[in-house]
Amino acid sequence: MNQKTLQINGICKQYGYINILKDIDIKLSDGNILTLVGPNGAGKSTLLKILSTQVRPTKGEIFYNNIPVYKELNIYRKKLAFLSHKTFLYDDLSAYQNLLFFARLYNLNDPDKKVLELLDFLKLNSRKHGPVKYYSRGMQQKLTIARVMINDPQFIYLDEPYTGLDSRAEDLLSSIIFKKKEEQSIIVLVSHDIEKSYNIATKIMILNKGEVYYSGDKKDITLPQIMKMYREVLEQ
Amino acid sequence: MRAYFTTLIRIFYKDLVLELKSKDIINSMLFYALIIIVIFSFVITSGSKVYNELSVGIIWIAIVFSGVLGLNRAVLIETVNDSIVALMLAPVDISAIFFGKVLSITIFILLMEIIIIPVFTVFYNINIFAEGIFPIYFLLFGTYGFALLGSLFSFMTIKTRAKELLLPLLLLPLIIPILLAGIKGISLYMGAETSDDYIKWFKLLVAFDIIFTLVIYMLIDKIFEE
Amino acid sequence: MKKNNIFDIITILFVVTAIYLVFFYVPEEKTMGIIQKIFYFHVSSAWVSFFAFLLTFIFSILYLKKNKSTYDGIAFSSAEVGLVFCTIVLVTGPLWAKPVWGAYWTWDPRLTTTLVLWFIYASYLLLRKFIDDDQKKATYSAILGIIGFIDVPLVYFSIKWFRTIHPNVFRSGGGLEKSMLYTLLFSLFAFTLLFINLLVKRIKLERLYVEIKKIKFNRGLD
Repeated sequence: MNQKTLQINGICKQYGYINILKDIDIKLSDGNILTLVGPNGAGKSTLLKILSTQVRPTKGEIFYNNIPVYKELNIYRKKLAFLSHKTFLYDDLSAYQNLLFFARLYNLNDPDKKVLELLDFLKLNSRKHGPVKYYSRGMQQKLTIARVMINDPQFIYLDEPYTGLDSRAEDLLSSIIFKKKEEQSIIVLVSHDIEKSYNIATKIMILNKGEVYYSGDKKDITLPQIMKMYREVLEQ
Repeated sequence: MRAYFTTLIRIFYKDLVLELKSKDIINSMLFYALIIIVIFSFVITSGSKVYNELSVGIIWIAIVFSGVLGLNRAVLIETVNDSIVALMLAPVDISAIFFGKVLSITIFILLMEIIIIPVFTVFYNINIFAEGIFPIYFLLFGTYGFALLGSLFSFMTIKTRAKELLLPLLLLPLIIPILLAGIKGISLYMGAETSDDYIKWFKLLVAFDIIFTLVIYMLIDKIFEE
Repeated sequence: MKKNNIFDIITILFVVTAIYLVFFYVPEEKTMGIIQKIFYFHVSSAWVSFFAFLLTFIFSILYLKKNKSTYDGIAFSSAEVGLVFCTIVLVTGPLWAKPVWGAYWTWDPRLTTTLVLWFIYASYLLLRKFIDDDQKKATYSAILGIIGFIDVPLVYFSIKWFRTIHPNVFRSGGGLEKSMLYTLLFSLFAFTLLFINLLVKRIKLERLYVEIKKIKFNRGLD
């Protein structure tokens, strides 16, 4: 029952005269973690933005649970999360206010309780009323991760999530990814750290100049093979 | 419909809490507006035949120029940590987010007006409410129209290379009808002769607000979509 | 290529004929004298610039609807060529006004509106200059192209009402003499032709520019 799927067919993206993405197909289901690998300008981030409905594709369609995304946009958005290296926080608001604002924006049941739970989980209770701008970098990062996951997402998009994280925030992110995998969420990840993302992934896709260079299950390919292909792409 | 206004109010409430904490926007606008009022006092003399019209013009110039300052600041809050991306990805109507922002800016500018108009009354020895409270409507609708176009263009210009530099260049020519209606409407209302000419200006102002509210409502998705 | 040449020749013929009509055919106006002859090109340029901005408006809407960069190219080209004609209006207006009204500039509603129009479309070009991303450039300028055009009647009425308190120094157009009317209509047509010719060239130029950028990009030069 209740199986989650994410599918894109023939996605193309053109910016003026530049083809960022050419004819990309992806099919993911319960508990899949897809890692996107490729050199700069390969179109990884754009693909992630298309999946998270920040950018509309020039051509092609996106389906979640076999429903076209743009048909029930807000229902899909309720279930998705997007994390990049930006914090998405309001510096002058406190952790509590930031979380509460987004909890309400997502129309969660009993937002107050949810927020207090999260603050407890982050061990931020004592400082929940201080402005975010006075928090340490690591604390801000942890707060951002918690903020992005506030709606219990089932479709999670991570754009270079490990870049600039301190070790505690990194641990938090890893544990959340692990938990979300257990919950059978679908995760798509873009990272420069091929080794780390290989370890997390269940599927791997290498992009080059907007086209799929390799796509397959992790079990069919070893890390050295991926590294070799990545170097091939870089040398082109 | 109810969800739409709930979102709108939530954005406004968030901005209000932010502003109450930092007071960045209102303080900078207020200070700038007061300086304008003082500087312009050197330009006009009270004996002038069109003293009323000139003085009312100075209020509007103070509102518009300090408003530009406030607009840039209010939009910067959303872009500095990319929180606008987070708002965009929330399961709510994008136009509700935008109009929530317009509401915040309108209220902030109105708050500034509440402070500068008494100061203006003292410095220029003119009470714009001497004949009645109708000028309030000019201020309300004028401020809304300004905040409406202003928010739209500051969301656009903040993403350009020129950043806040570009906003006044785009915005000022377009809001000339608001400026003229505000100046002429209020000074006609204050004028000695009993004439209903100010109503014509008020209608123009309301027409401006309605037309652009509808047009922007239709266009707003395009701004935030890439 | 040949078709273009024929179009160029026709345009030149019409413009030259318009110049001939203005200088040799149409009689001098009684009170204003020779300076009034500027009127034919002044009015024609005004009409053309307004027409150009209308095109920008229409193609801006089309761009937002269909997302085709061709439409953006047309909207942009039309705004640029329109701005040239708008500048002509703003230069010829004062030249005409000085001997007749004794001042280069009067805050006449039409002239003032034209000046505001000039500012709006100059800011349109400025906005484009400051955006690198082509898609954003097209979308944002389309929005300005729409809002700016809708604003024009509001600007016009507000300026017109604003000035009516002061005595109106302008005589109404009144009846034009027949030869004057013909010359005006002919200039209008010649200028419209000139505009279309320039617009087509500008659109082609833009296309070539995009083509070059594309080639550069594909060869990794950009």
